Amino acid sequence: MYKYDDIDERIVAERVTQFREQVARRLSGEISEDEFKPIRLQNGLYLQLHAYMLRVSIPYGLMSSDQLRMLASIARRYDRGYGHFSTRQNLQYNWIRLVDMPDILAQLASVEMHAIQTSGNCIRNVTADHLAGVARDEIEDPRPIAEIIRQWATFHPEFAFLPRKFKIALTGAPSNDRAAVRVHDIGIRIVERAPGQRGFEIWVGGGLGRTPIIGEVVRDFVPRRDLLSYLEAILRVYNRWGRRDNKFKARIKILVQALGIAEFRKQVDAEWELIKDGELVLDDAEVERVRAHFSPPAYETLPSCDAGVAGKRLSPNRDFARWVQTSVVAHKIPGYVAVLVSLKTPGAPPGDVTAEQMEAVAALADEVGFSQIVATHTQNLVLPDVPATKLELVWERLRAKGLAAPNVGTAADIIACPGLDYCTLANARSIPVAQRIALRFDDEALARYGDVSIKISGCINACGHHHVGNIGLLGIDKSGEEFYQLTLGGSPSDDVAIGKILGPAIASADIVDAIERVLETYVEFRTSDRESFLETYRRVGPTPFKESVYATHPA
Amino acid sequence: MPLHVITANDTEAGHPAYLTGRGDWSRALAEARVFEDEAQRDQALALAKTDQARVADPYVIDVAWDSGGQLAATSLRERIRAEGPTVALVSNPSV
Repeated sequence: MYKYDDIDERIVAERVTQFREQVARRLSGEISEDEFKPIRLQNGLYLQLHAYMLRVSIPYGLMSSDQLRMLASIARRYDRGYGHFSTRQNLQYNWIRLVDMPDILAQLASVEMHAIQTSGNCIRNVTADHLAGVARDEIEDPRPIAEIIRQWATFHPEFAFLPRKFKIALTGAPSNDRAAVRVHDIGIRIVERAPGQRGFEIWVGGGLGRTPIIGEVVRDFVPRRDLLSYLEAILRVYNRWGRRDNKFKARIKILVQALGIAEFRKQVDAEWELIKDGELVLDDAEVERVRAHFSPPAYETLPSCDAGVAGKRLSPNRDFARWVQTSVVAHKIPGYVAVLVSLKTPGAPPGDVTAEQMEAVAALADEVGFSQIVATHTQNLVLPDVPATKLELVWERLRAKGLAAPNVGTAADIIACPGLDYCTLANARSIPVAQRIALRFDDEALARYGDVSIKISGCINACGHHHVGNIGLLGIDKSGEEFYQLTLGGSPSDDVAIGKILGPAIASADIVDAIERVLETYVEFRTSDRESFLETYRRVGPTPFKESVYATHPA
Repeated sequence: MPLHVITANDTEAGHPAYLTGRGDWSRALAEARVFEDEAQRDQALALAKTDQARVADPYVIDVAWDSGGQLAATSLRERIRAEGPTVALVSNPSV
């Protein structure tokens, strides 16, 4: 993985020193909260309902075991013994004290981590496919390019005060998009136009929030040498014309819709023409310099494990078999698999993980992998390089720490924002609803429902990605009572779709019953258990679901 | 006039703080000064906003006396803020 060079080390260390001084001035009362707020946000520090919240950047979700141990150490020493993996592959602490912030940032810097650009109207953490580098279906590992984009975007002087925040995601897989590139401000797909001729398909103007919009292809092929200049051209057009008078209309998606993709493309091309042969040309030497950090680890030569893993899915140990079914993913190197570590233990807040659990995962990564761990945007973790022969050991170790729930990809693998339990923006709670749903369904029910995604947001800002959940829930406040608007049919992947509202919002007390009726309606109407929830919904439409839900829970 | 309390977040720790009758700040809503008079409330809020070293962003919330005689925030948001998350912490499920 990428190792900081002198420049990285210096700018991160300087930021720690600067922020230490700014915190001291705030604590003395020399500067007011209004003056301090933009400074703390630039260092990932929010003020939430109960305390400060710190968001730590994890570029493209990739961590070393030492970094994860440091995150655990900070959780134990400065927070309440846990952290929360967010829907953008970051980690958040919910109980931070301002006085501790300088020391926390210094400790993060000691393991090449920081909280820079995790908030504010700038280019945020660059996210990527959580199986990058090990996915059998990828054309190319997208992480070197993600790292190059991270370096370009970090402290970019022109883009420190954009009209609104800006999110970029990448995938190197030609299909089965696991990075949700079509619902990002910029989504990048590595494509191969002809054998050996690789470049990038650039999507622009996607996003969720108040106005969910699926992005559009602004250019179907950008050669590698031109990637940064093309991104810079997009950002310049956005920075020039993006609205600053209304924060709800300030994202690039609104600009792209207002101009139309053809006019937007024309303006980007005009800007690009001016800069494409300038200092942003990405030469082979620079790409190779960064790519060297992502060289494949020293894999052993092992026999193929596909048949063996298939056998483990039928193991007489039903708990283990079920875990293998949901948690083990094929790897591009024979004999290896990737293991998805569920942070969705039924009854626990989605994405929350204790310091002890973090340390256990870090130790496992050292023992059976190559000391690397990946955070997913679905709020789980990945052990990317596990010899298939070690699966029983990994399962036992994870199970001992409460991390082997066999529910990844199921109705219990719920994405949920922090909601009204923590967040100042929320209108309703998300975590308790996720907990109630997860506890409703036993393993047998989860197996019957198969692959289905449930995503919950506590407000219209949609941090829980509810628009692209197969089943989405949006919390709303109706005269002081929590209600949930139900959407069906969303997807963040190749078959991207924004879910459609099923009907009137449903009271909190009735929402879990409603979800169960949606899932049972799917089972009733599917042609076979090989037809997924999404396929059934798209084939039969909303009517049977609506009849089922509202016959039981009239609005 | 409905009953009001002035709240903010503690600058150092970030936790909720409530303006008391003594003019200082308490973590406990039960210790908050309850305003029934609009002018007094606004005057106290203006003063609170000058207390930048100790608190951030003072504002007014609606409160009421519950059936047990305890002071309670009217909105769910402020109740959660006063009483803590409604879910147990993963690191301490008993809380």
